[in-house]
Amino acid sequence: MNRKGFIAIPLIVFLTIVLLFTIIFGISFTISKGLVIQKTITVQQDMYAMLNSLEASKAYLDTAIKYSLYQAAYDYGLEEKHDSNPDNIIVKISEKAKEKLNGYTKENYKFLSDKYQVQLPSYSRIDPKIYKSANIITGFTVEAVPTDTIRIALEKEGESTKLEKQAKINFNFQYPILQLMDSLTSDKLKQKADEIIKSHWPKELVKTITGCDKKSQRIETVDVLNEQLKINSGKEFKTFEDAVQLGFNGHISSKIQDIQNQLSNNLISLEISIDDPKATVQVEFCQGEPVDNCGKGGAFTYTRKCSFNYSYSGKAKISITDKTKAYPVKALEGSDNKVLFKNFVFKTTNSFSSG
Amino acid sequence: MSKKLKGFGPLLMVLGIMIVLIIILVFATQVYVKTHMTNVKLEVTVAIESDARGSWPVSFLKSETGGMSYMEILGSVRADNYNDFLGERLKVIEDQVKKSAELDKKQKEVKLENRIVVGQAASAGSRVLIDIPLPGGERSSLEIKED
Repeated sequence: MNRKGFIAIPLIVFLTIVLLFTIIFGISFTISKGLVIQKTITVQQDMYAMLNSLEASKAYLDTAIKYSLYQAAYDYGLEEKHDSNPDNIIVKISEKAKEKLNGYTKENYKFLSDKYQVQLPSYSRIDPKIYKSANIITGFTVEAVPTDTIRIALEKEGESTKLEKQAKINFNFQYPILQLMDSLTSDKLKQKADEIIKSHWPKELVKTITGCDKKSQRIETVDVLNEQLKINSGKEFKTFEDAVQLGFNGHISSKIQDIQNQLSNNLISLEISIDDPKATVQVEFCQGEPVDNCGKGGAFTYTRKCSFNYSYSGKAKISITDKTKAYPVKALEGSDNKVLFKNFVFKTTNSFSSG
Repeated sequence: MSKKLKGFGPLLMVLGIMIVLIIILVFATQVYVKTHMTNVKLEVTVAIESDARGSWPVSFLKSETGGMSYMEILGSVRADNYNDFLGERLKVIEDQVKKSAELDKKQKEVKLENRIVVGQAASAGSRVLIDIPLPGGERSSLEIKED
């Protein structure tokens, strides 16, 4: 018995140790989350300077797109063109602005020193959209779409640090010229001419003379037309040709030019002149004969009624100057292409034809 | 024979249990090591040591007055007739440079080419160059001095 106990006791102790070890091992195995390696990295000042260089380069792009739009709007405004549709205008200006913006991004952006060189992206397109305030076109918003991000990379002691920033640019460009251009498209000018003809030039005109002392007088077609010319402009002409070309033509041209007084104000000035105006007045028919009752104690009456078809066409040379603000642009006038603050001018020639 | 072996019965049982436990222990150790080898976590503490170079110029250039950023105003100085259009805004920028200089207890100077100098700093001070766009498709470097 003593011998049995002598062998069993160390075995029980050993067994207990093994059991305890197994229990402790099992518990730690269950609650352990894995091996953790700790490391401390010290990043030098480059990180902040790199972030600042990205911020500065974005501010550079935000400013560059403004200058690009100013220059594009200025250049396009002075070009010879025959369009004043706001949707077309903003597309043309945006295309030009894209080229100019890409000029600003050709070279790397330098911040503080040559060490921080930011790679600027090119822009694939600038999407414009008409901007309205209280249903009035005040300008357009643009979104410049880049081909890449803004990037900066630095190699130092075998470690490479790369930072990126989104390069999309949005800008709300105030360009009130668009509102005026919208009211001066070829279609709108046609409508205006049609309205003037409708309200000032009745299709049927009548001239009447009475009195026995006027028995010898005859009413020509020009006399019938002169009746309306006297009302519209206080003028009358001897020949039908003059009545049409000088009278009718002159009246419509001056009425269209009146638009400039209606739409101009202290902030926007509008000038319109009509080039190559063509007016025609076709006589559909004229009827009426003199009635002489003078011998019967009555009167002499001569009424002549004519039916006319009017038409008018011309080329409206339009020039708008936006005086609300001046913008810094490379001015085209002069030989040295100086940068000057200039008001935007928009010139166009819009053909229209009424009737 | 059976009487002799009778005394070793419990001992053999204990030995048997021990062998089983040792096998379990070895097996568990292998599982533990394999599991933990694939579950290594790296805790990295990043300590940034920085003097935040360029922070003031960036916030300065992004500041705005009258709907124009300082960068745009300073770039527009390239226009020959800038004084007629930027006079008041340049005054705001000048005041801002002065305030910042007082706050940092440093002299500060912002210069664009030979066209304009805002503030004042000794030539021996630290000097940085920052690209800015100019109207008409050009760019230049704005010089910022501190001492």
